[in-house]
Amino acid sequence: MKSIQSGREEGLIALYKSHRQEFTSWVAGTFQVDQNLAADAFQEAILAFRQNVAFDKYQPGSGSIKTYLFAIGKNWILTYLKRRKLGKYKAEEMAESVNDTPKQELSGRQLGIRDAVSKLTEPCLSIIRYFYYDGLPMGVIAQRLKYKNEKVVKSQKVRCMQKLKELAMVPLQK
Amino acid sequence: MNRMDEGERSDFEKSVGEDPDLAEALALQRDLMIGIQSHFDQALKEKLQTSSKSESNGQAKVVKMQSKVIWRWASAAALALVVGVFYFMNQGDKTDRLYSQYFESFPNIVEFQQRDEQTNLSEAFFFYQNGDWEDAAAAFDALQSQSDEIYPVFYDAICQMNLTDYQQAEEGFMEVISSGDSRFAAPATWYLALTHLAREELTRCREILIEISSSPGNYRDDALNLLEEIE
Repeated sequence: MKSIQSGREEGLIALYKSHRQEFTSWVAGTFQVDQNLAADAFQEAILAFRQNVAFDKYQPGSGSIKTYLFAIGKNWILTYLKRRKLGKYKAEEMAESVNDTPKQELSGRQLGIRDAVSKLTEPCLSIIRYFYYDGLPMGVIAQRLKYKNEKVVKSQKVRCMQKLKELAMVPLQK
Repeated sequence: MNRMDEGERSDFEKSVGEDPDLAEALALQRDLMIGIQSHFDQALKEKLQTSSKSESNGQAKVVKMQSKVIWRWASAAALALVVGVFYFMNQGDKTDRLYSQYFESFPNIVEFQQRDEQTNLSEAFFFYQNGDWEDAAAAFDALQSQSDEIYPVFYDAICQMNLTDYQQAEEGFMEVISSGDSRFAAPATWYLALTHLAREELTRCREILIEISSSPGNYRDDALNLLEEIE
């Protein structure tokens, strides 16, 4: 948990490797879906778990991490099946949460922004990742990237977001 | 939005409905968040897929090795050998797991400040950030001959870790630690411990981790956690 909260991915990879096989076998057997779809569902479960931990939406103590991951993965599959009109399960079984269900296709502007992120150089890439994806506080980012203080990081973040908009060819705000 | 009460929320939604500029600003902010998340999610998915592929390859190797051993040594003495091999392999699995859990390439903290001063710098970090470790190592190596600074040695050593040449990485980190450069000496000490972990030299790894954990610093918590897991 601590490793995930600090933006490290090794713990997630270890979790994924530990439970992937069991999850895909269970889901493929229970919902009659192929192994690839089951594997996709488990990846999405890991991503949703990461986001919930990073932004303090995960409440430890309400069950094991494995149970949590399996529930997210199951909900993802149920929603996917409903959207594809293949499922025979009731709609009320689905999760209400937004981030553990299959995402809609990205819009053109969202795709442009996604591609523009890969064109960012340092320190913008790290700052944007740490702040928006890992949910790290400014003070931690300052310490990690050896900035004098968090004010300097804040100003740099503003410049980085402007750069991102330029790269994505999004009109800058007046 | 979650912090607004119902009245505030209703007023806000009304303002958004009446002000197209505000509505566009909100939509842009949402698209930025989704685009950023999608980029890093995609990168993480690729890592997850790679990890499961490498695990499958590893399992295939183990199965092949075990069947060979059983075929050649169908005696009690050979059984003892198999047990020994199994124990050894599990030890290796544990250090592999810990290494992959704790090793993460150090971020580029140099390029931004000095980009205008040295043209080769961008190239080296371009390779580095793209995970092109061989080209990055060659570029940092070239920089070492052009500069008295220590950072090319440090980043070269990180490249060597990614290339699994831990001996060369160790030499680089030792040089960085000797330089006393405050930006890199502490991370170099941490990575030095990891070079020993990767080679299953646990005694030396422990010694360095104890040294790191005995004084305050960015790596103290990681060192304590890793020490605990090694034990």
